[in-house]
Amino acid sequence: MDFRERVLTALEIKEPDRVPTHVIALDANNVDKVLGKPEINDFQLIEMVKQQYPDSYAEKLTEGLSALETEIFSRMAEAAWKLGFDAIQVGIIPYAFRNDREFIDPWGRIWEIRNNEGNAFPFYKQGLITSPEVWEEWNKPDAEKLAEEMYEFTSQIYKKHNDKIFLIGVDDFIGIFESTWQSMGIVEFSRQLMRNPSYIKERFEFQTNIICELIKASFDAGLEVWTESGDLGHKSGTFMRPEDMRKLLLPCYKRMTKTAHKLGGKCILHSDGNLMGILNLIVEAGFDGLHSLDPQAGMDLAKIKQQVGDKLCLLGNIDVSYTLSKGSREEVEAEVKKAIQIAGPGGGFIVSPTNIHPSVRPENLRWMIEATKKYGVYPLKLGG
Amino acid sequence: MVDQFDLIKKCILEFETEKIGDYVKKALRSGATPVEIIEKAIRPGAELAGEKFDKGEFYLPELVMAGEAIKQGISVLEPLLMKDEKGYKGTVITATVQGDLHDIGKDLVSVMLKGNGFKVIDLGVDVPPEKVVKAVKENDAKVVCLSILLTPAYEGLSATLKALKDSGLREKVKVVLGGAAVSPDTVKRYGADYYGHDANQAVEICNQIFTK
Repeated sequence: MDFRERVLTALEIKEPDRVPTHVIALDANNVDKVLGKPEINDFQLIEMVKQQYPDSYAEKLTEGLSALETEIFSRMAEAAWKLGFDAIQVGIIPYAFRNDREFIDPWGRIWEIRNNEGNAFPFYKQGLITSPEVWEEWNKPDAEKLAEEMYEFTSQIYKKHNDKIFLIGVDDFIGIFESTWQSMGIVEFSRQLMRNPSYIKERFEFQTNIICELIKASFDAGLEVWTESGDLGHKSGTFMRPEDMRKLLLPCYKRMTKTAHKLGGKCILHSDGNLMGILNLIVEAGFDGLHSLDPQAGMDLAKIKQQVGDKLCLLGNIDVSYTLSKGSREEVEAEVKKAIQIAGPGGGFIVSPTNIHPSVRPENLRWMIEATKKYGVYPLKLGG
Repeated sequence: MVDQFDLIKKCILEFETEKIGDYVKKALRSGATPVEIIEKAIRPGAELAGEKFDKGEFYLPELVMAGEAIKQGISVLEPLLMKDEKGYKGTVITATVQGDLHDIGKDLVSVMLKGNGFKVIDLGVDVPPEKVVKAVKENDAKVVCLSILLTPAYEGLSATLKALKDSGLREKVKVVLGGAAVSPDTVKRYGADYYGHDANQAVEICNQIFTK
């Protein structure tokens, strides 16, 4: 099997030739370690543009951002392929420069740009949509324009990397839940959820319309799988009560997965945190796969496999807080072996880091992939 | 007076962020001291909110809103409490370590500690080690609660613990860790003292420390 068949077979909850490997993204530092540093880093570029256009550098930088993002994700796909991954996610993040240290996005979120050894690393800072009235007046993101950008972005990366690695479209940072609460901040979101849930419903639906257009655009460009990204949980449970999720989020998720399925594709949900209490809801939403399964957040792989393993492809479970950032080769191998032992039988499992951040080491990712190749070949011969 | 205390408690549990300040002012006018209001109204309200979160009756939005109500109530009392430090159970420094900008967990811990009668010096996010050291010295704090959501911020954690040690303060303060990147293993590995799974546990730990 090639990487495409391997991933799609696992998403069908069947046994491929071996357990596939996937990563949600690669940190730019790791990309540099694998491919070598680019001639000019993000911060040198910002400085150059600032010097050339002291009065309009933010606009000039924003004009070039789309090309820069395409290059960043293209390098990411190249590095993931070089590391030996079967699949990686790619997706646009429509930032605009507010100044040389901050982005603003169309949802009214401010991001601080941190210098990660020359690479720009955005950190969510605050949301500007402080009331329904502000949202009413807000110059809202345009679904059609974003879809055009997504198509352009995806087409370029797909043409360049489709023969090397399986590309999955993603709405990282702009998924339904995250983009909504972050645009208003956690306090305002909580207040509106309790006092004015119809506003939250309106916001979720608004974002769903956008995501459905992005799915269509990325599938038009050649992709076959989409990941809805957004952290629904914290360490002890979900942010929202499950009955609110059922009322407000489930219809949106259903619409999203139907859009992907109608086009012959698949849809994965990525979320950090403890989702043990909403596994059935995720199945009901129509998702084909669930990513993260963070053991640090109490996601019990054996219980998940038993409860929904015949309906959901399970992706993730390899710890990034220690194993993939500081762990030894033996520790990485042991964790991968254990995960395959639990979730590999019958197919429907994809080995993947639970998340990604600058401290995850490329050598640990290589060890993770090597261990998957060692223990993940079907029929599985894992023993004790 | 009992009615006033009940109304304040109710505001916390029913998220009446706009009304709680008035009830606190009324209780003060009726002769209650700030410490009484915290002990008999705000602390029980905060404790009940925490219990409801533990039992799954409250989710994060409810806890956030209960926290907002506590914040509003405390804001009326704080200037009065500042005049008489004896009203506090003790002083706790809270911070998200250098290299991390996440504030939800840290803010919840800060407000639940305040609601439980602690003086809280919230240093914010991305806090340099020297700022933690300075705050411990200036406030004679016994506890430092550090929040870490991202693993790369472990460097900030190491640096903060080292700075406390180098300044001779490490033996005098207990360091409590919390946040998505942290586990009981992290506490052992980095030489901190306690692991708080959530805001409630952080409050329990501080209560234990200050009653020892």
